[in-house]
Amino acid sequence: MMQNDILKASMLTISPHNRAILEFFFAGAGKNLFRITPAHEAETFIIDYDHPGAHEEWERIHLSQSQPCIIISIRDIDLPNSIWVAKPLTTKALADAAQRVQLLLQNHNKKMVVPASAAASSSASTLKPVGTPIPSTRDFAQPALDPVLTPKVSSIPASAPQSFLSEDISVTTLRTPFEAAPKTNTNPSSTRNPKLLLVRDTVTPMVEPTSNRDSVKQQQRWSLLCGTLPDTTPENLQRDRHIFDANQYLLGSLMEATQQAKKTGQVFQVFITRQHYILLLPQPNYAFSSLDIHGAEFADLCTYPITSNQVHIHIPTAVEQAQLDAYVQQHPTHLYDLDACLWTTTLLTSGGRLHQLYDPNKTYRLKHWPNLTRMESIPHVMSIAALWTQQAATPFDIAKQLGIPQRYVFAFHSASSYLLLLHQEQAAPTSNSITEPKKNRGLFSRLLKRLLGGGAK
Amino acid sequence: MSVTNKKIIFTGPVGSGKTTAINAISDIRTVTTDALASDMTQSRKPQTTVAMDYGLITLEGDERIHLYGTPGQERFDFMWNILIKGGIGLILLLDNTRTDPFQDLKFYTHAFREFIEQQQMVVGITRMDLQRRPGIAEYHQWLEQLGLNAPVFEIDARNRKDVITLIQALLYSLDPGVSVDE
Repeated sequence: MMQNDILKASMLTISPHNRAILEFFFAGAGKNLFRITPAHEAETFIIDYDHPGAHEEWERIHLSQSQPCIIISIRDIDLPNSIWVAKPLTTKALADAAQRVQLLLQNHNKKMVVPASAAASSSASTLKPVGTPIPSTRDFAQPALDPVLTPKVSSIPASAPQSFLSEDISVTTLRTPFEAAPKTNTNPSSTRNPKLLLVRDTVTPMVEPTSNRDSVKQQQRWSLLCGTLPDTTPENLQRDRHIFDANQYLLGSLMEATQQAKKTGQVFQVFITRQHYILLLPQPNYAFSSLDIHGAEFADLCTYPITSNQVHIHIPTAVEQAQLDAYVQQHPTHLYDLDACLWTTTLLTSGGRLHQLYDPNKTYRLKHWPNLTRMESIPHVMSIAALWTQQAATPFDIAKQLGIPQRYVFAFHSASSYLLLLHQEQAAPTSNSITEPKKNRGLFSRLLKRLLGGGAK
Repeated sequence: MSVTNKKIIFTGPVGSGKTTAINAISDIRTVTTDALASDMTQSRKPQTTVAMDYGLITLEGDERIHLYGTPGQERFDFMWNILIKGGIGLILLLDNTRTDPFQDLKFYTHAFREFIEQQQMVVGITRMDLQRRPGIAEYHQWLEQLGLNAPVFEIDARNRKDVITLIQALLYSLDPGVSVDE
């Protein structure tokens, strides 16, 4: 740490879950780094940017206060005078954030006390008068501004992999005391041979990320698509909030419009906000979205329940359709395969939950694989698809057999259901156990590793 | 130490992208036996594979995965039975711009039926950017009619990621429990 002062922090808009995690951290590993104070005493404000109302809260703070903010979010947030900490929260990331806030404060104070002559003598350290807006963290990171501080305040996210960060603090993913730890190894109560049990601590990507930064972003995206919910039991699905009702979300309206569009062959324009819309083009099976479906705004629209009358469905006239066609041709990057658009929308809505029509008394079988070259990838998607094609099973069985967190299977189940790729069966689950290694499993593993970026060449 | 040699077979009609797909993932420059097309093939491409394509993926311990592309022309089908020996699976590439992709699907799945039933098949549809119909759902229906179930993906044979996805799907179909962590 640059200084030994304990940072006075105030928690503003934060979900109960993340508040509990932070309180747990502040009471233990972080007690020498942070002290929770009322807002008027705070040196920094902590805001959960994924929580409703957080954006407005940050705006208010930014306009009225000079203290930096710590923004926690699953998405990469780049806001002035703010430090982004990626979820899931880790001790290392929070400790790093404390350090970076101290640097921001120190730098800010330095600017306020430096003599005007000194400021004028160096163009590299040009300082704005007190009272001018505080520059963003990236401004602070400019090498010319303060070469001593620069290496410490970089644009690397606070949650960056260990290799990015100094080695003095270990990385621990933070959970509340009541939150179940992720499965790391065999279930002691399992009667299966532990040597044969498949446990996936790491995720096999469909394609290799090109850098650690990409890898962090990919993990965050997966957190958004598949959530972070712990495993549950069939009896506790409702209690643990592992079920979502599509009708409360944009997904419900979009699916309804898609069904109509496909049935009639007609172009449908679904207004998802006042400005933005999705154009459903059933004949070539495309969807044009005026919002990037991989962007934060679209994710928010899918993640939070919609208000009544938020979504409007419109059938364009011939004249409008010609204008829209011309617009679509000018913006080809926003043209998506229709199924891929629905797939992403469902995943974002599901967040690792099952849909309301899921029947725990039935088994399911995957009729057809999703078109995975054109759809957004989620962890273990290949093994889930392969196993579910070969046997009728519940999502719980699939997760158990593959030894993976249920949220990935639940997300896959939801997305495949809305693309009508899953078939419901009355039959009892079949037991083509995959725990018995098949012939050539070792060779296949080495080939996979090789194709995904490892192994010999 | 014995060297493991396994094969993955790429098949499909003329111009469906077999040579390109092998080239996208092979460690070596693809060995190909192209000749000037002298028959109907000429209308689709000036040069075509008359014997086979060959590519290679080398793994740790000198294990080798041989990638064989069958000649697209039906008159070379006598070679297919020779090529599939020792094969772990079939990648069938179909060109969506051809006159009758269903006939192509029928022809190749019939020709390799025994091999598909013993091993696995993954279908890659090329040139869907030029011709959207038939769609993936129609290929699913056709496979069902033929009593088959296989992953079907839209691919660009020049795109390494797409070709890797085909191979991944093949390996997971053969063994859903496979993992890079083994």
